[in-house]
Amino acid sequence: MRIRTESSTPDAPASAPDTVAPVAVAPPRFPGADLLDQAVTADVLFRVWSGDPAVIVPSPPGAGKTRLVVLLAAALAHRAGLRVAIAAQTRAQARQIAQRLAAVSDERARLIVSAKDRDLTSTDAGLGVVRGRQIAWPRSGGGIMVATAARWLFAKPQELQADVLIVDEAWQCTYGDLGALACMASQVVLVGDPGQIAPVVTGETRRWEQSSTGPQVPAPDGLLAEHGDALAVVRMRQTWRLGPETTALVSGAFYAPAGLPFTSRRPSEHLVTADGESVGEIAHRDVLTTSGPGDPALAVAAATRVREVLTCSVVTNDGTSPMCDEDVAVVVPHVAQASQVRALLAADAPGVLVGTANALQGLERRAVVAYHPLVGRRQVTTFAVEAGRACVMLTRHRAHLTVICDPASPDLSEANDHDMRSLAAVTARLEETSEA
Amino acid sequence: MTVEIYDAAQRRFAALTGRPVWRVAHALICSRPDAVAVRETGHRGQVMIARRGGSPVTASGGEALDALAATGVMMDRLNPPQVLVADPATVDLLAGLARVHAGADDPMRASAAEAVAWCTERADFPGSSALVDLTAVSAVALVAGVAPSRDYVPATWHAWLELPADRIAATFAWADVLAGRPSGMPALLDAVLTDDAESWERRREAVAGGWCHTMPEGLAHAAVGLRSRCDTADLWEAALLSDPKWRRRAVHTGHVVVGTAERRTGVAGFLVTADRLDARMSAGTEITGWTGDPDTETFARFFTAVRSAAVADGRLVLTCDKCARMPGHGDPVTITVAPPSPQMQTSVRINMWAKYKARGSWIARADTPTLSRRDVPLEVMIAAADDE
Amino acid sequence: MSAVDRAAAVREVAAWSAPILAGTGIAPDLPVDPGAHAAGSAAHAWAAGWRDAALGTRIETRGEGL
Repeated sequence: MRIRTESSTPDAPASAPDTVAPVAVAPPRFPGADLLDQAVTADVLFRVWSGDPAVIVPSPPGAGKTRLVVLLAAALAHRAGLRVAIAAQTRAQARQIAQRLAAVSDERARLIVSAKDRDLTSTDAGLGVVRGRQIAWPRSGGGIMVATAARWLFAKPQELQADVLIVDEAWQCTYGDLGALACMASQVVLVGDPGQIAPVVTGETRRWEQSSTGPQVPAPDGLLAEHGDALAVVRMRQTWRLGPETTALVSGAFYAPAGLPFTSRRPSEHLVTADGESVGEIAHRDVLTTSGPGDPALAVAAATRVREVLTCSVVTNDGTSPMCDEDVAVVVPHVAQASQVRALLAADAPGVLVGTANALQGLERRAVVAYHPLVGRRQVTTFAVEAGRACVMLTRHRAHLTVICDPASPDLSEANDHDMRSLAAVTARLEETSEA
Repeated sequence: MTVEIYDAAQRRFAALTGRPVWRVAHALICSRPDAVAVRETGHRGQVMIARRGGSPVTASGGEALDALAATGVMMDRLNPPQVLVADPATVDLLAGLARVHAGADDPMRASAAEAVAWCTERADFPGSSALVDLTAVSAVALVAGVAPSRDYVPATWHAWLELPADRIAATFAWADVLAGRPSGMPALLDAVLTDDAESWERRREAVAGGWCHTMPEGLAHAAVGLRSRCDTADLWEAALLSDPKWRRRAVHTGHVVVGTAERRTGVAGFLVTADRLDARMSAGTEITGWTGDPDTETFARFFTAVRSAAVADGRLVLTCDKCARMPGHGDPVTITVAPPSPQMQTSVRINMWAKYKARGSWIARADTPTLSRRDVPLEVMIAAADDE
Repeated sequence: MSAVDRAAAVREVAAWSAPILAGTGIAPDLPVDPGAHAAGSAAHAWAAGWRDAALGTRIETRGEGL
């Protein structure tokens, strides 16, 4: 159901509400109204508000997912008077959503906390915190409640029924868990990044290996396989984090083949060396390894590169400023590799974020040093070539990425496996970037 | 990464002595007196089946199920059966037989098919004693003087455990070696054995009510089935960590932290400083520990959470929340990730099942959703319709 | 008497472990005191693995575990 008006033009964003309101006095912009500034986010709001039972929103890295979740909940609660439940995958993510919500909707939003957060106060969380018997919707009008998916699984639908359930990072929620979560509301909105690491499942799944609706598959994939056309899919097609070179690399290798190509709308941002030379968006550094993925030469190369990057400045539309520890991250496949790098940087650059791809999901920094997934390896393992892991490592940065590569790692270009060929394409492209 | 080197040293030791090295002090399986051995003969689809002390029967197809029924592998028994195999391929063969002969006219054969199907499902639950893959358990419990690629080959263990040449006798002797550890099974695996028994009871009721394992499985069963498998996998990992020999190796994978406790004025909790930086613990990790080294585990454990992890002066510093039985300043401390609570796991599964069974959600029912429409303000419709 | 061919086993393990040990300075006759090497080092891991293998079944639980 699409309505065209003569006043809308293809290039301009939707006109501000006060120019279309029929009343003499323009109403104040409701919480979440910023969604109307872009057709894609307005479309999500429209579909959920009008009653679509499920809306799936696949988004590339840096597309503004958290912003969408927060503004959508605010608009539905304040303007549509609906009860909105938000399910986050981790406590840290729930807290992050709560903090962003506090800026938009503090009276009607609450964060549900458990015994594990016994010391958390409303001041710390930024948002009203509720526990135990305090957990209840406002007596009239809409409301928002944020909690982890695990916490929602314990909630009683009779007591806490919502109108809409928004699942954040939905591609990390399993289809099996969604079926139980969905009892909390008649409508669901699944927002997430299909290119990220798949849901962590420790149990044996071979029984459902061939099934597209197995309980272990990512929730949106299972839902689409089961219900197909009955569902609305609204694709976010832009990134505000990744620059043009990274976008071309990652969209081409991982997202376009899956039907989610995207483009960069990142404002201009790049590094310059102390000598004033511009640093390209992506670079690589080759390291010869002799003792596997734990070879100390890799950590030394990463730490050296971090120190070089820290001598640079970053140039944006707002001017130039020096780089500092908190602008940099190092992302690697394995915990032990992270420890090696952390040890080397602890003395002179302790504020640099160092972690595995799993740990750094959802986070970003101006500049990143990442290991190529196969460094140190002479044989391929499923873990090493997983597309989600490679994609996370290549998409944490805004201004600059240096990839530590190992020329002697296996060549995947002739592989049968889809993930391996994506990684081979990425490797080939990285070899063409400048050598750092 | 240093665990690869730890393992390399153990493999070399085993090679030099000609004896396998134990990695666990406990038994990881129990071996029942009425266990049934099933080994492939090498002819396609043909298996040898026997109880302890019984004569082996060689059969294939439906007759193999008849032979299993004769050894007691059928639904008509109170406690679950135990089947011993040496190869995951045998599990697939048995599952195939059960599928083909499900609902057979011969009630004994049909009953055996259901019992075998249940056993092969339990193979997905590490620590289960319903269907034991002796090679897989050996690869965890022992290290032989071979390259790792041969860990999952039955012939490796036949040689290194000096098993009898006769395959059936070898199977029972093999189970006895793995089950016969003086420390018995770790307490955490009790929950898995209890689960075996409860699962068996539920299956008996279902089959008695006319259910057959080839009937389509709904999302509710699948979701709870996946949750159970994950819970069991987590219990298995925790059971291994509760074993002192395994803990020594786990120091090299970052699952066990060995350090020194520190108490500071103004800090309610405590700090642990350690030489190794590769701990798999970070802010929010629930942990357990005790005063002492990894071998001297006592009942007086503390349970708490890591508030933050940092590196200072080349050492790992874990800041831990206040709790009961906190270590004193300067005490040697051992920390591992806290084990899951079997009661909490059961509670979550019951909850999940209840939600699915309440049939409140079209997603849970895998039903077509019904639409009910709301009016949407014009401004939202217009903004959504705008083409970018 | 062991049923396995120890000489063949030693060769097999040596061949497999050569790439892992390359560059670590570990030699088969390395002293087996883990305390003589820095925690987290390759030599420490080798010495610890060797020591724990030699202890055999001499570690038993004293508590019940959990």
